[in-house]
Amino acid sequence: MSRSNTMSRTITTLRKASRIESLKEAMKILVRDKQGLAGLIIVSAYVIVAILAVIGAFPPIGGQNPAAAYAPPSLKDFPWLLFGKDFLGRPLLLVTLYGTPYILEVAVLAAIISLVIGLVLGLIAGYVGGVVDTFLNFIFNVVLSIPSIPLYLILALAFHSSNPIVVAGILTVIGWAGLARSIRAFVLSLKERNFVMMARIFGFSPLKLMFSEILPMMAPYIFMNFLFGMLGGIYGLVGLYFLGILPLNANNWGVQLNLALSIGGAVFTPRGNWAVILPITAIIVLQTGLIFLASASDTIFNPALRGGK
Amino acid sequence: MAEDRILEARNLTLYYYVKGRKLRALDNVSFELKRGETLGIAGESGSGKSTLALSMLRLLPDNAEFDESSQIIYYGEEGPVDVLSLKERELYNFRWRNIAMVFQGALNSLNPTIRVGDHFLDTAKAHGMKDEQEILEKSKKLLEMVRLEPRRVLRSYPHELSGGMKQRVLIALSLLLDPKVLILDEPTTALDVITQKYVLDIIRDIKRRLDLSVILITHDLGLIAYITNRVIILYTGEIVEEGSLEDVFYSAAHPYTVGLMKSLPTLDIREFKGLVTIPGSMPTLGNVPPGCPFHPRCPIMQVGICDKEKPELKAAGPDHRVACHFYSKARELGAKIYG
Amino acid sequence: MADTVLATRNLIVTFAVSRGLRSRKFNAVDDVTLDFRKGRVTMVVGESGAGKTTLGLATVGAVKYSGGRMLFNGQEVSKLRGKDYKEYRRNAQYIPQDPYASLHPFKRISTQMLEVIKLYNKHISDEEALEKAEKIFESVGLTPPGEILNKYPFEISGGQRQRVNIAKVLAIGPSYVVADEPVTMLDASLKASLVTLMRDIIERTGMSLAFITHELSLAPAFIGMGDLAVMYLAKVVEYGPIETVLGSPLHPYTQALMSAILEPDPKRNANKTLKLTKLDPPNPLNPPPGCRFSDRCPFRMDKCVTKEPELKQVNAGHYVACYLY
Repeated sequence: MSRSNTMSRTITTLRKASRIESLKEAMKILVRDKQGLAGLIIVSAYVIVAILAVIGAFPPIGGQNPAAAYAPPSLKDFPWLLFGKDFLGRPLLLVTLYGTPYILEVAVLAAIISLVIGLVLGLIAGYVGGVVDTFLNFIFNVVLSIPSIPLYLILALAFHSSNPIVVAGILTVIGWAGLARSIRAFVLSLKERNFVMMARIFGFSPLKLMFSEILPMMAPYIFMNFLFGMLGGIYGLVGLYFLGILPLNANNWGVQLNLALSIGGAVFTPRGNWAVILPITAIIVLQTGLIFLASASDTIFNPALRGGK
Repeated sequence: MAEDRILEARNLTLYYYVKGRKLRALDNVSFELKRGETLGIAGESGSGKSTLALSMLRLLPDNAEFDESSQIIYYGEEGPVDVLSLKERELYNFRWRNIAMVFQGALNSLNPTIRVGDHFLDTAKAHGMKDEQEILEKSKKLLEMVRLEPRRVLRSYPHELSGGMKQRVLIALSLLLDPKVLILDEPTTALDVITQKYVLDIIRDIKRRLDLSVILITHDLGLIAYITNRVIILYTGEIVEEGSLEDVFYSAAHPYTVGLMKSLPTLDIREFKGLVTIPGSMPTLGNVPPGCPFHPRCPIMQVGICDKEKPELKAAGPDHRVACHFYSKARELGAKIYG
Repeated sequence: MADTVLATRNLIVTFAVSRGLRSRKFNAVDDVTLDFRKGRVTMVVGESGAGKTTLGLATVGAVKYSGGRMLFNGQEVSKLRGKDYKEYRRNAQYIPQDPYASLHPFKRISTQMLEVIKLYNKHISDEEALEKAEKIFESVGLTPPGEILNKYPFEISGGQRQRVNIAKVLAIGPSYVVADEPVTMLDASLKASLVTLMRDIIERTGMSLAFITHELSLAPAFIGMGDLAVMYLAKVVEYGPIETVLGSPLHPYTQALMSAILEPDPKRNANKTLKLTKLDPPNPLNPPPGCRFSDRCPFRMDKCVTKEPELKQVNAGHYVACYLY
């Protein structure tokens, strides 16, 4: 076989190989892991709903009609009245669906901000070491020792806004420090690994070492952390709205719950059940989806764990 | 006629169930350990030697299964014991009392939070010995036999001892219940060359003093050459050659054994240039080729025979068996067959 | 000397070990003077704790030395900056002991090779780099190269991984390489072929090789190509051409090492006896006074516990640190 034939074959395989490193192939791998697949489907469903809601694919919620409060489920106007109406006479299913984009937006923002700050600071602390590390570590510990719930409450009351960015910001004020500390510890241990030492001897620059040798090893952990960041964000978010700390002028499941139980009086009538169950279910299913997806993170990133040989 | 066998393995065939596949790890392995003998089982990584070692005491994981024809017989004082059919409780009593084992990488198997003396006490009590005074006396004697200072060592924690000392403690521990058979799986990896020789000398010594029969399992042919009487060569889970020390080392009859002997560096200054390399590598579990498992790498392989018919173990000498269709050719050509 | 690539003069590497609240210092490498020459091999032999790995790491700059001097092409390494340092960095490379931990587990072999090749060939195209990688793979016995390049480290054997490590070094093309127990973790039947490969590379490229090992039986591979340094507790106790030291070991420790090596030859093993007064290895934190080998030496004299013997030339090129000579 001529040299050029073997060459072109190798190049084709190499190109195929680099495609594997991309997200698309990661999805194919995910498909083989049942839990991961389930998680992916669930989370994708929510994302699709959020997109549909934003582009107006769903009918408008319509005006308030208190006379039709908690109207029972009916097959009329399928599928929007499957769960009946809320205390303001609006189709419950629609209200819930329209709550999705806000939740996802804030959760993703919170997770990303937390992740980026935690990752960068943790990487620097762990890799650079010395005085920088001591200083940063001190900051991590101080931030972590601030009681989070009271702080969230205070900040939420102080800023009192439903702007997604502000809310995301409130939720991440402390969260990043935990990640930073774990990343720092991770980096400290990875720094001593044989292949990192080899890369250093080869002559790779510190930046390349941090991002090309060490960071990929943390990929499963980072991915998982992102998903759990979303998880925590959703709880925090729903909680703050449910408690009425943040203004009720946004449409999301926390607000839904708050209104249903306070003004809506859902506990006083069995017809109010769906008004409480639906948003709660929406939350639980999303969280479950996120957890399932997170559980597949090792499989996606560690080639040795992918599919049986 | 007094039974001069103390342990016998017959037709050991073992499968591992991995991800839905049934992989054969041991293929019809049969051997005898005579009383007072030191048997060496030599194999490279992937040959099944650790599996074989663990089989003797049935310490295999749940996904391992022997086939029906496999048997392990221990010829004890009260008659033959069929090890593979012992029940849980019987097996528990059987282990360590009759056959004891020192594992590979055992340096980490001592509990770092309790003193050495407590290791002896706990082990003895777990197996029915009650009198603490008696246990300690015995421990002292055993520690002296492995040339450790009993008072100091019994008081120490494992991390206060060197690698060689820990290994000797483990050997002493294994002898606590007076077993008649001792199995050692790679007993000296991680030990320095000088300590290694010392530990082997001790093993030779206690074997003599306690009238033990020993099985030594290792990839290091130097160890085998030093303290064993008989040798078995394992390849992909089967015995390819077995015989006395002299037979196997000086008139090897299997191409793999010949290649192995010729590939090992020795201090002999003249011989290094003549070292050979066996091409290819040992097939992994589940990828064993048909016919003779060694044929793809064999310099005297003959198409039509070696790739189709599996060679049986045949006599190549009065006490020497080999599994090769062309063993006399292998033996005669010796180093030349590897070019 | 003109053809000395790297040299150490009275090199000292100090480590601190903390025991509870106190921390004690000890020298893992203590006053070592060696020359690593072009096209030659320096075997550094000793047991674990002898300091040989630390010495190797210090010479490639992975560990900082705390005393003495280390010269690369005549210049003091600790003072190198900028381009000069980069020159040193490129020319001092390392082949590790553990084939399983030394390759990035998440990156394909091709990715890893390309990274290394492009590091010092900034303008090379992917195709050219790949071709170079394939050529190097062929030369180290990794065939078929395309197939192996496409795999992840966990899909290839230990022996193959070591060859990849060697290939990476070849891709960089240093003038000095440290091979630190490169075949210790490989099966016995593979050791000779990898060692032969390294020997051939030295002959072909003129690299200087520091071969660190506790397996003296590998020494015959390099006869006629270099020197053997025997280390004990941070010091070099014997040094000379490989064939000379193997043929007539002078230091009692070297003699003990040679008689402790178990060969795959029953008759040769039977003739060896170990003559040490104390068999347990020493504690590097607490070396005996005077000669560090004195507590185990069968030939110990009073002189030995008072002052450490210096490394002295005894025959042509053959040095020993022992009062017997």
